[in-house]
Amino acid sequence: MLEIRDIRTSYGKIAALKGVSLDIREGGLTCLLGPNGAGKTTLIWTIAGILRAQSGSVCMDGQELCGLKPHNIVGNGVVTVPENRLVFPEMTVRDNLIAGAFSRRNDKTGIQSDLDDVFDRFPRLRERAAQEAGTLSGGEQQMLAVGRALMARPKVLLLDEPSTGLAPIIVQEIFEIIGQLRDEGRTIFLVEQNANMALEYADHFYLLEQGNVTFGGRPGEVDHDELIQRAYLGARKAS
Amino acid sequence: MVDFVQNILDGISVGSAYSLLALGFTLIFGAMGRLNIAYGPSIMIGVFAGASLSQDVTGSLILVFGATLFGTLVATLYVERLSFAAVKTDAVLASMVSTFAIWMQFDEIIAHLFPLRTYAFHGWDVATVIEIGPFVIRHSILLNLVIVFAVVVGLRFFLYKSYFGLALRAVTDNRQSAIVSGVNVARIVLIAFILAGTIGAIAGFVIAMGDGQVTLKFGLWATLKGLIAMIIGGLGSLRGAVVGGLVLGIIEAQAQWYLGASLREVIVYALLFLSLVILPNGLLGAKQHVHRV
Amino acid sequence: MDPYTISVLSNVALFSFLAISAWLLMLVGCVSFGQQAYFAIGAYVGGLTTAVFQMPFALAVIFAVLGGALSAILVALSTLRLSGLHFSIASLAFAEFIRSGLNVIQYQRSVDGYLTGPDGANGFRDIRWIFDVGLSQGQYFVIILAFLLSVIVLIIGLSFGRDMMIIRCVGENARLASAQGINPLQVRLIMAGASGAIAALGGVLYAHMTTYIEPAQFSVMIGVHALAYGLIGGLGTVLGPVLGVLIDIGALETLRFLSSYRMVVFGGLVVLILIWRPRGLLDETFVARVKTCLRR
Repeated sequence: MLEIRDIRTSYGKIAALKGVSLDIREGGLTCLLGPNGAGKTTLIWTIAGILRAQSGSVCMDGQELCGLKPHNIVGNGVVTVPENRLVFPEMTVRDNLIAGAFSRRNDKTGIQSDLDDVFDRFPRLRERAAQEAGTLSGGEQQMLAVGRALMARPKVLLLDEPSTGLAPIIVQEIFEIIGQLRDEGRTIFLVEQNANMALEYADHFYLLEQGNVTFGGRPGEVDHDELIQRAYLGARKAS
Repeated sequence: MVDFVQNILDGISVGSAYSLLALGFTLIFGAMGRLNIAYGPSIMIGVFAGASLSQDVTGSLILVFGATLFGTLVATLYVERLSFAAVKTDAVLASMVSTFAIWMQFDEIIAHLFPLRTYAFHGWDVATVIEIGPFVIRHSILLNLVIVFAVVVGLRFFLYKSYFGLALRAVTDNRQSAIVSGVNVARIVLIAFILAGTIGAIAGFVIAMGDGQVTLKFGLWATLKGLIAMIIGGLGSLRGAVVGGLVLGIIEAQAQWYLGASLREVIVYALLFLSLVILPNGLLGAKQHVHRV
Repeated sequence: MDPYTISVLSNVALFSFLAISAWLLMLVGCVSFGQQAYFAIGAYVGGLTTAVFQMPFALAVIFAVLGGALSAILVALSTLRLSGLHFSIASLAFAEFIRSGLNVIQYQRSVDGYLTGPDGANGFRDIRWIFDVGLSQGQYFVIILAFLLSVIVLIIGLSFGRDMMIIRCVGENARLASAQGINPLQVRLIMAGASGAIAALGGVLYAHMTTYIEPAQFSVMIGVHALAYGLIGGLGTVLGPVLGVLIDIGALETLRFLSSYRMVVFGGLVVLILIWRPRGLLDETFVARVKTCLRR
């Protein structure tokens, strides 16, 4: 569904992504693993249009997304759930969700029904609909961020390290929700530090090390332990 | 006692204009996180446009207001394009100094096009006055209050009942989140500026009408009043902007009456300094969120 | 050198004090709209010392600098914990408080039969020390320059040790700095005192050159100008604010043929520079590059 070819993104003179290519297949969960500093978040921001790639392409069903403005990319159905949630702290939960549907703002009935769907999926958010988002717990904010992304009717959902800063029991909850979304047939691209959890749910995965994709395959095809080691620590220099 | 109350009434009249100025500042500061020092001068361009219409064409109120609005908006868009849209996102200081440079430009342009010390501006046609006991309520007090009320109601409606209003609140709350949510931030900022410019034009119009004239000092004066009102009420809060403006107006009226014009300035600035030190979040104590990531 | 050039250069030097003062605070992350307050304090204290109390010039300088530093530290103590914009407005409030206060303060004594001293909005005239000791304009300019160069050398000296790095750390990210064991409040207080002192130094020199000062000279305008000089000239080095002053006053003189729309042209230039170089011409990247080149 989303073809990423040879993306090169730099911060000034520092090359963060040195020619990344991967496929995000439709209707499944594709996972990107890698140690800190590998460039995982950089890749997400590049796909989302917030960072500009020096070269390469991001193609969705034949349409080139690379170079479009972020709000246009959302309009095309590629929606990001950023690292550290990023909610609107002083707005209510309900307003947060409605804000997520900005690109579809003329579809009033659709937005209302989607809002109900999100509240059905996350009953805790319905309870707190009138509460200010800044007062929610970390896990609730994560749910809110996912809910907000869903309000945009995404074709592809990009999740950047959803487990960051959350207690293990909450992480479990979040991943169950991600699993649900996957089971519903949604296309999900998950970037995660927590390799264990991620591999449980992934249909396909890639390993990003120092700006390059060094490995790609299906879980079960590889030795998990070695993979997880590389995901956390990076490739061993000596063989 | 009579004087004290009368001063409150007069203070509210002037203060409501300050409230409008503060609202404009708050909108831009909220949406961009940057200060627009050229705000007052932009309005000045507008009121001088209105004044020029007042001289040559003994125009109707509508025409003069139209000119004021047009002038202010043109100036506002000029500032937005050059000092905000064109400047890198994290360069807050650069934006601010850029607006300062534009302020200098505007000052000089007006000084050349309008070399006299003062220019007549269309005054209020009606000169009625309501007397309640010992108090004199000039119609301008009522009119100003009605106008401010209308603007605030309109603004609230826009912010809470329209999608662009929601988007503006979102951008103000957390810019990154807004980008990620698919909000066209550039367009929203433009809308914020146009809104601020319109409100500023109304403020300028009301002030110029009340004075019956405009002078070159208007630019700096309006900027200072708007800033101070915004700070007194509490930065970033629209309600604060309104309250701050009214409070400033009242304090000025009282200080002027009892202490005279020169001491009035001293008192206002001393109070501003003290209020910042003692009540940094202003009278309405705009909250600072702990959860801001 | 002809009197005109000397006068222009003297102005450049004097405003450099103010520009450097604002720049120093910007380094620690404080945007002050009110350095002109200390410029004014220095001017008035210095003027009082020589003209009203007939004391030596050296004492005037000392009192002015002390006055500037002390008032700056007092203001800083009450405002440093304020966040960005609040601090800026507080600095503006203080400066305007001083200016409007000076408008109503009168203190005059009879000196040699003439009433001398600040007379509110009417100003403070006859600060005649340089005439009394028979200094020429050119000679006084040398004095101004000597003081300015000392200040510049002192500040450049700071960048050879760890001090400048500590200062910039606080400016970049105060919380991070405190995690490294630096006390941001202390650093900011010291910088506030230093800025106040430097501005006041400029003020006392200014008062004795112009011989006449009035509150209206110490307005918000020159305060914001002071900030602008640093941002245009470059935040990377102490020469930045000086460059900013040179560009402004230099443009003022050379663009005389455009005299009608000088500000429009110059303002436009500033706007363009800031789009291209948001931290000024001599910004940190440029200075780093120069340092690398010099090391080779």
